[in-house]
Amino acid sequence: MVKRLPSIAVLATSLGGWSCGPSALDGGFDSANPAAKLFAIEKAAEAEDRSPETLRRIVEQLASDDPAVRLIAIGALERLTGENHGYHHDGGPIERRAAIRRWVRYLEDGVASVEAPPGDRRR
Amino acid sequence: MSTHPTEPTGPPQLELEMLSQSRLLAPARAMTGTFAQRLGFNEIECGQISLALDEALCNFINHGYNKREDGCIKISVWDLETDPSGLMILVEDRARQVDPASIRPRELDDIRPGGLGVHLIREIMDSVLYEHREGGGMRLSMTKQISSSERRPAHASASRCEGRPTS
Amino acid sequence: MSDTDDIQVRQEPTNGGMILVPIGEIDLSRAPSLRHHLSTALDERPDRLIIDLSEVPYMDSSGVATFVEAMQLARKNGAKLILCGLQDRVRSIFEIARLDTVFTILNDTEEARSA
Repeated sequence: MVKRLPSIAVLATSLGGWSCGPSALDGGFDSANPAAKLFAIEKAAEAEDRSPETLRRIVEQLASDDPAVRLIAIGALERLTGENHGYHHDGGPIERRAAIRRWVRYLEDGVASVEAPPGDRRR
Repeated sequence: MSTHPTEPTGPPQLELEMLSQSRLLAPARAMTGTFAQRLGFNEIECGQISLALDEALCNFINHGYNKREDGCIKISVWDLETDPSGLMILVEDRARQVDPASIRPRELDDIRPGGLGVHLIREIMDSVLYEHREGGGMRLSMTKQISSSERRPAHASASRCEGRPTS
Repeated sequence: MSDTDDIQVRQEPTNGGMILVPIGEIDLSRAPSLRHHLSTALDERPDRLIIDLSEVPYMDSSGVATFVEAMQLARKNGAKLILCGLQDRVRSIFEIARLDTVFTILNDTEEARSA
C-alpha cells in the first residue's frame, strides 16, 4: 500500500504556487514529489530491474493519486513483465483497485521467475 | 502549419511539475510517450512526440533557466478528443521572458552543434505556439493529431513508444 | 547531486582506429559524458573512429550536437568519423536536421571497418 505522505503539491497549489519541491531526484518511490517517483520508476525500467522488491514498489504506485505516476508505473510494468492485468491508469477507482489486486497476486505467484517479455529485443 | 493550436477544454489528463534537471527528461519523455500510445499514436509518432517534448524541456533548461537546476517547469497534457485523436502539450516555466518572435529555427545549412531544438519541434508537431506566461515566464503549447483515423487498441502491452529499449 | 549522468561506452580496437559503442539513450543529461568519451578517443589520434549506435534507442539534439562537435574535432585531427547501426528513431533525427548527408553513416560495423 502506498504510504500517504503529506501532499506538498496540494498545499503549494492551494497557495497559488507550483510545487517543484526539493531536488526531484531525492526520495525515490517514497518521495512526496511525483517527479521523483517518476524518476525512480523510469530508472528501474531502464535498468530492466525485475527484482521482486522493485516490482512491488512499482505496483504500489498504481494506487497513486497522481495519474502521471499511475501511467508511468503501468507503462514500466508492461515493459518489464509484458503484462497489464487490465489496469487502466485513468479507469475508475474500483476497477483500478481490482486490477492492483490482480497485480499483487501475480507478484505473489511467481515474482522470482519474472522474465523479459517474449520477443523483446533492444531495438 | 497553424500557430494557434486547438484549445482543450477542461483540466489536463496529466500534469507534472519538475525541477529544471536534465535527469528528469527521461521520465517526462516516458510519461508523454506512454500517453500518446494510449491515445493510439503509432510507435514512430510516440517517439517523435517524446522528442518534441524533450527538445522543449532542453530549451527551457538551457535558455530559460540558463542551466540552473532549481527552476520550475510544468508540463500539462490533454487528450484533445478530436477525430483523428490528438493531444496538446503545454510546457511552462517561471524564467525570463523573451520575445516569442525571436524563437526561430536556425539555418540548417550552417553545420554546427546546437540550435536544432526549435526546428525539430516545428517539424514534428502540427502546431507550435510560444507565448509569455501570465505572471512571468514562458509557455509553449504544441499539438499533434494521429496520422490515421484508426486508433490502435489502447494499452497495447510492452509498447516501445517511449523510445526505450525493451529487454 | 550532479545533474549529469554517465553513459556506458564499450570500446574495441579496429583496423587503424577504434570502435565506440555507446549504450542507452543519449539526451541532455548524458551528452557531456558522451562528449568526454569521444574527445578522449579522438585525442589518441586514430585514423578512424567508428561509433556503433546500434545500442542507442533514442537521441535528442544534445546527442546530435555532440557528434557534430566530434566530427569537427575529427576533421581537425585528420581522423575519419563514421556512424553506423543507427536505429530508425535515431536516423530520423539526423534526417530532420539534414545531417544524414553530412556524416558518413553506414549500416553496421562490418561496412564501417571496410569503408
